[in-house]
Amino acid sequence: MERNEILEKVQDVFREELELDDLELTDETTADDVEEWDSLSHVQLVVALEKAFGIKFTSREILSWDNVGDLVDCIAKK
Amino acid sequence: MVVNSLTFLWFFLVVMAVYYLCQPKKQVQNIFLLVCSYWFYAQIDVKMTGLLGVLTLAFWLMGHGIGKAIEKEKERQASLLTTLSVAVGIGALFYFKYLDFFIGSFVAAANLIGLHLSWTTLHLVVPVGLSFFTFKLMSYTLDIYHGKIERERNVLDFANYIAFFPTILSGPIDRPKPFLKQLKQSRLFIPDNLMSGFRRVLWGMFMKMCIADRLDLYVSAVWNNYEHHSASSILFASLLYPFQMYADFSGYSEMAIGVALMLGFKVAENFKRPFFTINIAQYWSRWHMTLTSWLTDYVFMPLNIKLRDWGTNGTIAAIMLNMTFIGMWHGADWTFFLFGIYHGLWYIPLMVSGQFFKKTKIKVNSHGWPTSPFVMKMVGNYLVVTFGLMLFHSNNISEFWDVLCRLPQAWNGSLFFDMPTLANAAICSIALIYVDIQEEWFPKKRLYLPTWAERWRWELTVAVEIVAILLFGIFDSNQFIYFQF
Amino acid sequence: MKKLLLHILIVACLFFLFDRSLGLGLKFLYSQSNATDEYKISYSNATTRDSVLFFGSSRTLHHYVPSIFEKELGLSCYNAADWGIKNIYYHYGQLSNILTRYTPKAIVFEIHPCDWLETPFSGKERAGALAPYCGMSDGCDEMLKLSGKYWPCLLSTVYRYSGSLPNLLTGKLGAMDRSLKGWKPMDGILDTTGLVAEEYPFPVDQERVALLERFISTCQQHHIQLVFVESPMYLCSAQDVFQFPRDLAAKHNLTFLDHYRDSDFVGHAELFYDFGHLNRKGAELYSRKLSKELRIE
Repeated sequence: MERNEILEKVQDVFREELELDDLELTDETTADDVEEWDSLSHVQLVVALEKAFGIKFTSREILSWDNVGDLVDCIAKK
Repeated sequence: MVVNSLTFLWFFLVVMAVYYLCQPKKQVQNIFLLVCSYWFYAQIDVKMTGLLGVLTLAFWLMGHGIGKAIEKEKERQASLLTTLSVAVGIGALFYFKYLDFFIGSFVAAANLIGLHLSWTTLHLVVPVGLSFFTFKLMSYTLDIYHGKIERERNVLDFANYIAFFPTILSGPIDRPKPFLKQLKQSRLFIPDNLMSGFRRVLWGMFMKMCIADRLDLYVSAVWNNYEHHSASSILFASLLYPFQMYADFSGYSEMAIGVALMLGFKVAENFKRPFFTINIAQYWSRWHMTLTSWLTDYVFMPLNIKLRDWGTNGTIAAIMLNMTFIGMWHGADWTFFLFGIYHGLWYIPLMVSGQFFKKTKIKVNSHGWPTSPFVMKMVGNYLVVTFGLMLFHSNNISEFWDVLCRLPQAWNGSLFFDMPTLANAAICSIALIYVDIQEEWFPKKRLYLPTWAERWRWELTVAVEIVAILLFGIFDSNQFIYFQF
Repeated sequence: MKKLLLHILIVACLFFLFDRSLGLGLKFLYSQSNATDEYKISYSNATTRDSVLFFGSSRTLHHYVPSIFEKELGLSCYNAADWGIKNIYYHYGQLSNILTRYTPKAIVFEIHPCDWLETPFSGKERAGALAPYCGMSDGCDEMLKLSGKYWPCLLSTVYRYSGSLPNLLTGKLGAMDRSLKGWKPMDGILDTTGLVAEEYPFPVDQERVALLERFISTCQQHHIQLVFVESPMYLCSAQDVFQFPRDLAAKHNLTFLDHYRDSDFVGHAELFYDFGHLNRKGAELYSRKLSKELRIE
């Protein structure tokens, strides 16, 4: 999968989980930029992403993400 | 030496004068700041200053090791060192704070099954501020491990982060990244910082000395003699206690934040009008925010992630464990344990109903005031908090049970109403509530001043606040409720 | 820096203005209030001109009925005591203030162990009640310095009334009936369950003893007849609690009328309000008895 395809799919997952149809994600987007994205919804997002991509992240990986870019890189590696 | 004392005032004036004379040499400022912080801590607890120094050095070295291991991609070594650092931090906390409790509880439990142990408790004195600076130490090594920060090469900067005197005793609990960044810059003499900081200090003093200390006279008089007081008095005192705690701890945080600002440092906010909330999750996101966020990031999140395959049940388990830790952080007794459990249980209906994951928007009427249902929920939430704090306030479980049992027995007694104390507290509390309402629901409005007086807003506010503190404040030396943590 | 100093200067000026003007208002209200502390302290220190004054703390406040003494002695009397375990630090300051205005004929002093013992519950801080009278007399200022309140009181007139605002605002609605000339009667009967005698296992405090001596010599210099008294307790200590004032009175040729173990009162719960204070009936009975024993020349 191409990186920008991953980003688009991630965006779809975010839009569905956070119920924000207009949400636009870039590599630099962080939780601070999205009101609905906090420590609680973070785990929901992780679960949804794992399901959508059919992968499993380690706790260490999840806790190391600073922004969407890190997340996408992590998916790309898998 | 407490922040609202004359000794501290002299200390701080001298510190500020020398500190700003050193500008823009930030290294000199930092060395001077470190000396002051250690001197300050030594005034409170000279024996434990050594412990502070040793732990600081140990964590700096471990952080160094973790950082190097990550650079060399030695994952296992980094993981082991991080675990060691957490073990040292928790170990220090356990030894000083919880060992006696566990010994006592273990002996009591053994007695119940007929085993008589002759273990004695160690009667250890908890180093002042231990719970606060160990958390700072652990967040440093954990953040390095998770790649949030680079290891701090300068041991003095790291030591400054841990020992920073405005916040070492009772927080706020700052994270390493934002604070270390500020240490790398010179703190220039900016009058605005001094003026804003000073206003925060005054406001904190007002909350602490005029409201918290004043309410404490009444609340302690009733609570410490509950056997002689009526149910109405006990209930009234219990209802006042959350407000007293808010004024006390938020007031102290304001002073700490203000003092830090006067030295050119922005430290984290700790309170955000916690009684303007409608459920326990919101409450904890606004009460002692630095503790909540610390535990959220380092306990709840990892747990929640680990248990994510259990769905809502996993989140509930993570919450319960997290809240138990919050309870136990406050003290070594079963009352604190149950306090944590109690709060954790209130999360369950929120999670089951899905409300936990939604951000509730406040509903206002045409004048900008919240609707009655919203206010009723606020009141309800306050009552939930009140009951939890009755547990918190009790010296032990049997006292808590005694107090509860007393309530139905003492219904006919009259309310103990100490007019001067309560009236003083009421006048000041009205001012606090007014300010909080304005900041929460009408943030764009400011207290009215005629146009000609507007340019003297700072001066007028400061002068009025000083007069208010002199007129309503309690001036006997008094320890903050949170010092024992 | 200059701008900051200007801001600070303006604050200082504004503070001075607010503090002094509010202080004036509070001073006026203080003299009008009928709340116990505010009325007792202000009237005793600043207003009374009665011939016989009763000094002491709450036991004096509740036990000595001026009207009874006035009838028996033919002299104007005022109960100048205040509650709150006031001790010699307060009494000495109060005496100094009174002497700037007039010289009473006699002082009847209900002495209490906290006047010569190092009691942890009552110390120098009691002189802090004299705060509104900072500057009235050297003795008062000296006591305020010991309590640590002198310099704050000098800097801020508002500080002198710290904590008093509600009582000052209640004005005439306060608890004290001025017609009773300083006496505060207590209505109720003692609940005797679980009572034990009060003990005073504290060392002698030389500073307080020295102040007591100064109190005595001041009275002597001004030709004020000083009488030590002790009112009854419901339950008495087995120790000879009042040996010290007895010796002190003997040393200075003073009368000491000791009713501590008076059998007319000891054990009579119906005469007491609580373990340490007589009720209205007890106070009147005691005042009648003592007034016949008092000899004021």
